[in-house]
Amino acid sequence: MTEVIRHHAEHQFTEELAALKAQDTRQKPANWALSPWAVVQYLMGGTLSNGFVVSPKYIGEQRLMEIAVATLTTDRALLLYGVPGTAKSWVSEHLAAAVSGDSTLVIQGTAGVSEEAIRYGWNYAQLLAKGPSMDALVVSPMLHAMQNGKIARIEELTRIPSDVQDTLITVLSEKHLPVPELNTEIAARQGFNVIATANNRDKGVNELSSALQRRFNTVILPTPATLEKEVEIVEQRVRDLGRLLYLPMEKSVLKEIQRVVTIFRELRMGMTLDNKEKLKIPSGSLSTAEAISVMNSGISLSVHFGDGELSAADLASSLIGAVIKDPVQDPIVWREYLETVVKERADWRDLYRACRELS
Amino acid sequence: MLIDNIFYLGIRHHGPGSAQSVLRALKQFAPDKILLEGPPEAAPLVAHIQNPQLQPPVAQLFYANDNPAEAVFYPFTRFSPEWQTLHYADAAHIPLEFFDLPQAHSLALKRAEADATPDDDEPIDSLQLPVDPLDLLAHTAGFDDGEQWWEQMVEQHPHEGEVFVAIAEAMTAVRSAIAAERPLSQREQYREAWMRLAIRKARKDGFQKIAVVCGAWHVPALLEKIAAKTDSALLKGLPKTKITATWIPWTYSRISYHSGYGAGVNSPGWYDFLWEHGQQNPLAYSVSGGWITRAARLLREQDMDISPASVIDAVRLADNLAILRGRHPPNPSDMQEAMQTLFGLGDATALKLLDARLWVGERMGQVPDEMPQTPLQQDFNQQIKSVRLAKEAVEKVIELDLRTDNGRNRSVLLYRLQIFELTWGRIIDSRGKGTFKENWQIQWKPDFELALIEKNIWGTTLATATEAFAIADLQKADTLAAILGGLQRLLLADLPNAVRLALDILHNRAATTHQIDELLAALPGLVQIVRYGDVRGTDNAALLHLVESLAVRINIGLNNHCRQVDADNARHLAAALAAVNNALQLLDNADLLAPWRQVLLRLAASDGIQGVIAGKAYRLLANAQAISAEAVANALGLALSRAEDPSQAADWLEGLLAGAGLALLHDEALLAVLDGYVCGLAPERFEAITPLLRRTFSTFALGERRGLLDKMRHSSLVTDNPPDNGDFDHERAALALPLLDQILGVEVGRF
Repeated sequence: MTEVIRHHAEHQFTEELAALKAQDTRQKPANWALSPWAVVQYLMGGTLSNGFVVSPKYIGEQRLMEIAVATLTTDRALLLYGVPGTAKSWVSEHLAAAVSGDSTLVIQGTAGVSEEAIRYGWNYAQLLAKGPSMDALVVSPMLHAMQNGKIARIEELTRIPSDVQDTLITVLSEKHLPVPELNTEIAARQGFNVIATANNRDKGVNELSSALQRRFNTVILPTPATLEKEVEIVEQRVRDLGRLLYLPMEKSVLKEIQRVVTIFRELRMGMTLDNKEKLKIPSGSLSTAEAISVMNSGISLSVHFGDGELSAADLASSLIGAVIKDPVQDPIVWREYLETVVKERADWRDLYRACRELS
Repeated sequence: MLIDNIFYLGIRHHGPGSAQSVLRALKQFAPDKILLEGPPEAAPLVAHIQNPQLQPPVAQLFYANDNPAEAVFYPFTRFSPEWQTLHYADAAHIPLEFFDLPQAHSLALKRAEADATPDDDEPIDSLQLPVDPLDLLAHTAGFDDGEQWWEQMVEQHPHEGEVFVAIAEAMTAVRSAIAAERPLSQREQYREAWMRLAIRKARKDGFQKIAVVCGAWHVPALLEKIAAKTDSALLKGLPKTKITATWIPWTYSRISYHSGYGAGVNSPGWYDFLWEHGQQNPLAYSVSGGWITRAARLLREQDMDISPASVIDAVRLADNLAILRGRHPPNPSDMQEAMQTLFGLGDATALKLLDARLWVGERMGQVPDEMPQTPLQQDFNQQIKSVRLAKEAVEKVIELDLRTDNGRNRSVLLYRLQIFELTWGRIIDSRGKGTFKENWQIQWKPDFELALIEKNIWGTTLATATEAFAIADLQKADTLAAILGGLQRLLLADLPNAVRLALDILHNRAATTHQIDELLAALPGLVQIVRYGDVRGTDNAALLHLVESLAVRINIGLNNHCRQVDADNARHLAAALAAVNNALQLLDNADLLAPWRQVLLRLAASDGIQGVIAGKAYRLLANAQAISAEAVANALGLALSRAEDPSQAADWLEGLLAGAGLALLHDEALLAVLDGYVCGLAPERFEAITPLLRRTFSTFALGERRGLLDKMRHSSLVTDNPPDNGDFDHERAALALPLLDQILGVEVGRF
């Protein structure tokens, strides 16, 4: 138990959950560990009346968490949508931990997920030995959640092939899963619901059918609200990864993080930060996660092939690679941005030159 | 709050809940006299209340007779407590009096204020507050919306009247807290003194049960014990001006307008719904159910697919959200968030459609026909008098000389009316462009008067009103061409503020558009304005900056765009290139011309571009002598070489030569290349290409074509050695001549 790299949320925050539970006098939906109000409190953090401090799990708008929790009290499932790095999986795990005290009932969506992973499979040894019976049934996390009135999680829902996705329709609308082999069905207990996460700007994914879409309430998790917040997140992650790769952090790095995040935010919002100039928006998602990877490749370039000092030239190529995703439209967007915004900023001359050389 | 048989009803302006409470309280109390907040000048307007033609939203308009631009609006909606009070008094035949400070004084005071230097320490004035004073209380109590706070107050005080006591108490606390920090404005003191005097007078007149209906903010001041003498002394010698009052139609989108009672409301559509909902007895539907269904129907009208199932789920989510947040019923933000989750699939963009149509609402008021003239009408009449135009129903043509003041003023006036969509005059052909003369065909229609009354919403003078209207219109425009068209009209109508705004909008739109052809189409027009338009009061530099930024964006995107167009659009594009080229040459700015020519050079040399565009690029460069004649000749040779597809070659030629007969006459090198090409064609290839060649050559003037033929006959270029074999049959050759005539478009047979 000690050597585990990472604990589940319900183990890591056992104390907080227990403290909230002790305080919680509000009405709980059936089979919920906490009341909806306390779940929001757990996610957003705060100080309880007995002085116990709950750490914030989600940094952002409280109303989004309220919508998410309120959705789980209805018979619709919850779909968390957003670009990479907006804490979708993180929120989903903590929601499950707070609502049903168990965040382990998870199905990781990939192109290879089959219907068995969502419904049930068979233990063939048992099946051959005893014939079809409940004992021979291999229960999926979804089925387990139904039987016990818990939250099931599906990560990266849109990566699952469409026909397999649609298996969920029966589960979500009927709240029953037929087992025709045994001529029976398994009914979901109260408290059962599903939280799915998906990436809304990925290409080549399987869009939800409208029938399935209708069974989900969609909450879009936005990118960080302010420049400072985003710089902080990027800096933190760059530092963590740098430690892992034994890359030294130079002072110049913070300045570059600010520039990269500024560029990302401006292009993402289609507006300069001073709100003076509108910009075209490139086709890529320009997520915080990508800003982090731009910084990392820049740092590693400067350490291994440069003079160790992070310069604009080290960043330019990965920066351009992150912005230009569509070969036709995006170069125009990027060049306009270079010529009308980057060029005009006096202390950005080095970046302008470095980018000009490459485009 | 009942004191000495005077019932003080502190209201929330434009609050539907407040309107209901007031109505219930009035019915219970049955007063014999009502004092209502509002200037006494509005008294004659009350007579119209029972006129069915007076339909809210309407506004009482007060304006200074000597300057209609000084005006105040008091908007009324059906959910305004003031409106309901007026109706109640009218129906129950109870004498009603407006007991606020007369606007005759208020406007005069405002005039005096405008002259004085403003204080650093701004005194507090309820009319200047950004929200209704009661909403300040609501916000402190943790409500986003004052309406919900009122509902809660009513729920907690089941006895009618108690709620007014509670509100008076709360407001007393607020006022004393504020008064400790900032003094009351002078106007506020005058107003409240006036109100106190009016109450005393009503009592002196022998009324037994007086109802005082005014903004909750004022109630504490009216309850204060202040000697009549003090009040009279304060109000002595106030300045005065002559004013006129009238009803004008209003709209929900203008209810948010900051005037009259102070702050407006942001979601009149929602309040209207609340009022309607409150009138139901028994309740037919819940607030959230009714509202979300209404939203869904509006979205369906906009072709969004909203299933009844998701409407049901949205109502449930809104209810659950409200419970989670510890309130019931759901408030607007709960409902908006539920709709965003269910209808917009988490995205707020789709719900933007609802902002204007649902939350604000599109209701427009109506006033009786016999209302006195509005200030806009007066201003208009005054203006037409000063430029000597008469409202004549007979159509006639007037010629304006723009060099004279009167001519220019008349032109501006007519253009301004056009902005209002009042086409009193339309411009007709004035023979030749850019002259100082304009010919207008004018005809007055009676419905223009009506339109002018409606347009009062926008302002009280023609200049301010058209400007406000144009600005609102510009914000809706969605293409560069539309904005540019608007800009030109604004320049003609001499509205500099709107022109500045139009430039801003144009700038933003140009930055975000992916349509290069939009930019190409916009640039020449802008250059025209920079070069020839008289940009009165506008910053020419701002215009020039806009042109520059357009040019930069065109240079970046042009090559890419040219690769994407098909043959049909290529012709338009080539023409647009020529227009942009001419415009930039007209500006004669090396910083713009040099990069533009670079782009043209790249374009000319690119493969995979429609021939007509490449040819046009060469032509423009050759005309500007940016490339040598030899280079053009080389390019022509290449473009017309055998490897090229004939239609592409002909297109190229069209691009190069369209309308350039003269150039060909004088450019030996070019002619030689062309000639060599045609003569070197194999017969079947010549046949294939002849119609395409003719397409280009037929665009030349007859004289040019003759000149060219002449030149070819005498030129050394022509290999003038007729076939010398003896069996040449002249008669049979002559048979082909008519066809040749037809092909070449000249009468070859004569020669």
